[in-house]
Amino acid sequence: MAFLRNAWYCVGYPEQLAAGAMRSITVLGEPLALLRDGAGAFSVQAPHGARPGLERHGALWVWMGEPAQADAAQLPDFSMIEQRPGWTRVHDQLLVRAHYQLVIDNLLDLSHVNYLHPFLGSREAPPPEFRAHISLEQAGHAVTAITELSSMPTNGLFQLLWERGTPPKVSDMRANMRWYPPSMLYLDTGATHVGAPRADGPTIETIHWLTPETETTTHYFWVATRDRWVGDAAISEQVRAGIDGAFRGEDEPMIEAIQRQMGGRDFFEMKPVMLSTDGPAVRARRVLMQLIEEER
Amino acid sequence: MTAPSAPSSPRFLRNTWYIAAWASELATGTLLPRRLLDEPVVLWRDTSGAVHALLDRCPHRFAPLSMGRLMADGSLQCGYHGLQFDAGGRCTVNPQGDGTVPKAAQVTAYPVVERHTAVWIWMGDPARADATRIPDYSLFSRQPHEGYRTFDGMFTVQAAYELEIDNLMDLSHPEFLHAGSLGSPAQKTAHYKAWQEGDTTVHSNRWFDEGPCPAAMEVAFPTEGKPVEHWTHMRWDAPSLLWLHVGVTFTGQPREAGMNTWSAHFLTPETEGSTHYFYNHTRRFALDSAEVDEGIRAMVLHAFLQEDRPMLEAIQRDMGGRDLWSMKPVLLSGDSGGVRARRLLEKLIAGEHAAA
Repeated sequence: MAFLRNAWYCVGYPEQLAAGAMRSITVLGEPLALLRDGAGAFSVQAPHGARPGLERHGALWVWMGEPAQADAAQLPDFSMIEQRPGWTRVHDQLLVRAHYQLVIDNLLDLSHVNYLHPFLGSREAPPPEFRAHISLEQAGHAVTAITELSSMPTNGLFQLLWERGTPPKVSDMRANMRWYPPSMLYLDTGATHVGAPRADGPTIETIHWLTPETETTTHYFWVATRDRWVGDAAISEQVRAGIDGAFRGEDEPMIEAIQRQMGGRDFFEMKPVMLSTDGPAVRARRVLMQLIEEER
Repeated sequence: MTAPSAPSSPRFLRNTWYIAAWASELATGTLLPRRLLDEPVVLWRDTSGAVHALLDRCPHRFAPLSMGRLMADGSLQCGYHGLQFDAGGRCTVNPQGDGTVPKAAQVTAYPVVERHTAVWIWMGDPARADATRIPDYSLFSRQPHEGYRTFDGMFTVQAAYELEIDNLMDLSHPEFLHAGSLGSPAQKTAHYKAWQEGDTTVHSNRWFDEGPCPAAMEVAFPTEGKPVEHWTHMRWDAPSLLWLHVGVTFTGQPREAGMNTWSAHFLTPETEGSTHYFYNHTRRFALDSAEVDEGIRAMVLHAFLQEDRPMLEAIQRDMGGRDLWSMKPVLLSGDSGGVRARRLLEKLIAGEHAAA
């Protein structure tokens, strides 16, 4: 699968690039130099000239298409992930040795959480009143996978973040993952007492900016912001380590094994057996394919 | 039964038994992933002791099933989204959505048989899997109280299995490549004979009647300088099962009175350019000594890993995927066993393709 070129791709975090510094990164197979001059202005140098750069929402961005078409308004609004009152944030990055589309598939189908992530899922059998509702919404090119779990055993992450009183044994949990083309995802997830409104329990919002390094490797930038224990650095570190451990120790080995299994073959040509939970990931694949086709 | 998703290599015979693992590698409950004939396979032993093999790929999102877990009912649960498969490869549980099992949710299951201390796998037409076609290696199962002791192991070599067959059938190479351990000055006077037996067996025998004992034998068969008869008899069974009988006896004495050892060299292609090498060693002395097992293992592994492997991997790199015959090799008399085995293997593979 080719890349969408007329798009913004995240290339790092502002604090990684001091005034007067240079940093290199490969994006869509192209080696880039990220530069910040003495006055603090950010720019990007490619082998054959400059590429439009942008500093926004606590991240550095590069436009990989026609420079004349670079439009900052095309970047979705990720301001919720910036530092704001009543919330605190942690961020990190990793390199995944797999095609970026496999990482998107993984994020748009959170039914894997119970099998792959002990800290984020529930090992206990849900009680008889457990209800799961999974649905799909599309607005423009954005695809959202909506997961609502009622009366679910409270997972390790929300037990950790529960601030007011003892965490309930079972809670209502939501996980709404929105994908924006080509490879930017926003997850709103939280838990409450059964039937209680959103503000009752902790919320953690995360963004997942995936930047293809090559056809088979992906830069994975992520930010997590939460509204509980905002002054607690130890909990911040537990959240960072918990998410990093899930990505590195659980998602990445599985996604990389799948990459090896596919050995460069096309996903649909391998005739995958599809389940009802694959709707959002398949929709996002179709939207992205269409956009890449239109760009040609 | 779904078709293998990768086209099968024309270099592999499919309607035959290969060794997938030694039985000792499969403890109950472990999932053993292994690439065989360029297909990912997962092997496991259920709580009743039966061994099973499936294509190591969930048909949903292609996760290796070996990264999943074995359930109490003997089925395999995929570690990604929880689909469960029975030993026949049928999906029995879909925990997602309304739980409907999609019709196409089926994984290739391979016939497997546990016999002669090995797990054998059939990667061709399952209807033709016939366990009576496994050659007789019952010697492996003989126990110390019956006068025999066997240990086994495996490693993987980055060279085509055909090159391994050539190397094993060529009994002249130990004199040079393994000069320190297996060589003897009397090898220069050695006789050599290669012949075919039936449709699937080739023998390659080398022996001398009188000469100094090779150093590696001297340890277990002290000669005090007396001359010995020494033989190395290799039997190849298609497609890549080699069994070596090595012995030494005082010249003029019956062979049974001397020292006899046997070693299996069972080759299973991992890919076209790499080979799983399953070895074992059977002896009739030191029947209770694990220490002697490890001493022999160290010596044998030294020959395989420090002497044979670098040579074969260098040849593999030099050949770069080209066919041996197209490179017009110069053949010596000691190559006749290897050449016969290669020709027979090519004929069997061609016959399989003609029938398909």
